[in-house]
Amino acid sequence: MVILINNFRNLLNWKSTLIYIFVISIVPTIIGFVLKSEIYDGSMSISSQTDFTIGIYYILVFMWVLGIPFLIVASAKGIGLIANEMSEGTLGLLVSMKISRYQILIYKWIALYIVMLLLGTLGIFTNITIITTISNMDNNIKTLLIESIPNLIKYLILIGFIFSSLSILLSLLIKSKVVAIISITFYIVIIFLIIPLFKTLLLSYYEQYYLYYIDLNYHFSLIYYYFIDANNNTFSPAIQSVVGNFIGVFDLNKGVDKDLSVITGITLMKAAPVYSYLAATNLIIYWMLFGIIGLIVSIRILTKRDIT
Amino acid sequence: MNNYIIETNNLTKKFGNFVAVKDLNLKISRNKIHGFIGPNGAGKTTTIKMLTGAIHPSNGIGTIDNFKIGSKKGRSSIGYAPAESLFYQNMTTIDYLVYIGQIKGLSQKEAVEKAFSLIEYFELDDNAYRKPFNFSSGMKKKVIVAQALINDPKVLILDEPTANLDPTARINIIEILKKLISERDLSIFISSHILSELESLVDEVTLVRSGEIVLNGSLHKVKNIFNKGQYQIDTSNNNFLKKYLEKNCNEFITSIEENNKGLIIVNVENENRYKLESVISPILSHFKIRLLKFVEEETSLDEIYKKIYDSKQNMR
Repeated sequence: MVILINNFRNLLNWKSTLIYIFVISIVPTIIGFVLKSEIYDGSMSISSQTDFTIGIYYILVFMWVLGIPFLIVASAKGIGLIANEMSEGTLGLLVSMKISRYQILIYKWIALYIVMLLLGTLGIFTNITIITTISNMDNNIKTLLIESIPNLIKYLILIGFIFSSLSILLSLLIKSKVVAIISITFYIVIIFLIIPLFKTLLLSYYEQYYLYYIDLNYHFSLIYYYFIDANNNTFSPAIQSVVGNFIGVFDLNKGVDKDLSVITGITLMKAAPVYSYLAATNLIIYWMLFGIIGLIVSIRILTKRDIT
Repeated sequence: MNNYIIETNNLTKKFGNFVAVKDLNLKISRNKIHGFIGPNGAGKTTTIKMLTGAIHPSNGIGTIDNFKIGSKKGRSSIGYAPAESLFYQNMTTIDYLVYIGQIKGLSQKEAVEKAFSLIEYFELDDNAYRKPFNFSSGMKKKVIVAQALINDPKVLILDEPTANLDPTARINIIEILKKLISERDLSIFISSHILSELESLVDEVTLVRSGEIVLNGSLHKVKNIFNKGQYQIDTSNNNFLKKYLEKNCNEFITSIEENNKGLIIVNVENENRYKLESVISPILSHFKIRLLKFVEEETSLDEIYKKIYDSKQNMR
């Protein structure tokens, strides 16, 4: 237990947490001002305001608040948990004591997982507070955003579990902490930035070679959509086309209203269906299993490894 | 209960094709101080890490306090101070000791009490709230030995406790160890390549080279093997005794002379040591001469070490 508490304190020290919150606040602040000047200037209907705000908000949470910076920071913290003790030599002393190696790993993992949940929750609340405060939005929209919190936390619980297990595993597989952090950063950027671009440009290859099986952006966005859809938020076709570029779940090709577009001469959208390559519930089970297997493999590696 | 606190049977560790420790059969008696001596690369630290459970043996078995080495019960019997003093950057001395105490199974209250008593014992009072990460190497070593003692272990395993210390710090640590030995019922397994220091501490020694034991046993027994058969004798009538020995015992005495302090120096072959020892007493009692001193010149551990490794070197 003392290992859990000590690691928790180290992971959640004031200085790094404040820096993290500051960085996380940058994009919501900018978006808050953009919403204020572009959407809440009085020229847009309440319905459109709601539509845009909800759409942008969900993109922001997926890509930023629980996306790239969150996963990079949290994973980097996780990678350091074992790697630091190995490089500093303190692990050799720790394993000579009356504590099992699996306990050391599990306590460290729990500490990391709790910290990820706290940082994620803090990020979600900071995000909502900043956006609602700066943009001066309608109270009904505020309520909608606040109502989304439990479902966002459900997504956080899952993604936190996956990435905490993955980062612990990486810290055991890759000896250099720097290499491990660079690797996980690289994969996170690929998941959230490169794959969506590739998918948009080369959709035929994507389907031909069943790339959705390895498209983690699709996996996570489908899971994300599964949770936020529980709020019965319906995205308008316009917002779907915006959201769809970041959260790769909407089949935007099927969202083009060809008849109306031909008549009017401009591309008009109708509600796009969700890509149905894989089922969200299956993916949740699959990724939960991945996290559990990652932990079991980590325990196995640490138990068998010589701590020189 | 087994007489040995640590016992290994053919303990072997291979790293790929490199054999770091080969068929090591250690027997460390309870409540004795056992010196584990060998040059750098002899496999001392690898052996210690196998005993502490950090490294898994490739072959062989071992027990600590009758529990399998590396097992939880085996580990709970030991206090281990590694060669390098390694600390968490953010912890003060008291934080560190309490943390280690709690990992070793003490309650927070017990750990705090124990930590303060160790801080006092190791004269670290002024540094209790400073971070050992920034201490001098001598002070770091004190903290690392203190943490090894926090759970009142049955056996203390010290890996090169005086390595990389300046002479003052080295003496200080040796003094602390002597104090510990005199005050506590502890078995101590101590590795070092600085033999002169161990000589004043240990009861038993094991000499290793290239992962293999070259000599082991009680310090007295080991020294006896290497003693040169040179005796210093002082009596109430040295002149008479010298002449008597020269005349009557020349078949087993190699040389006899008087040194500048007036003591008789007698050299005998190793196999004749017992003859000299057995004749002295009757002679003295027959001629009513009082014995003031009769000691065999002891070979130091340094000399033994040098002899063994020189002979091995020559054999190559």
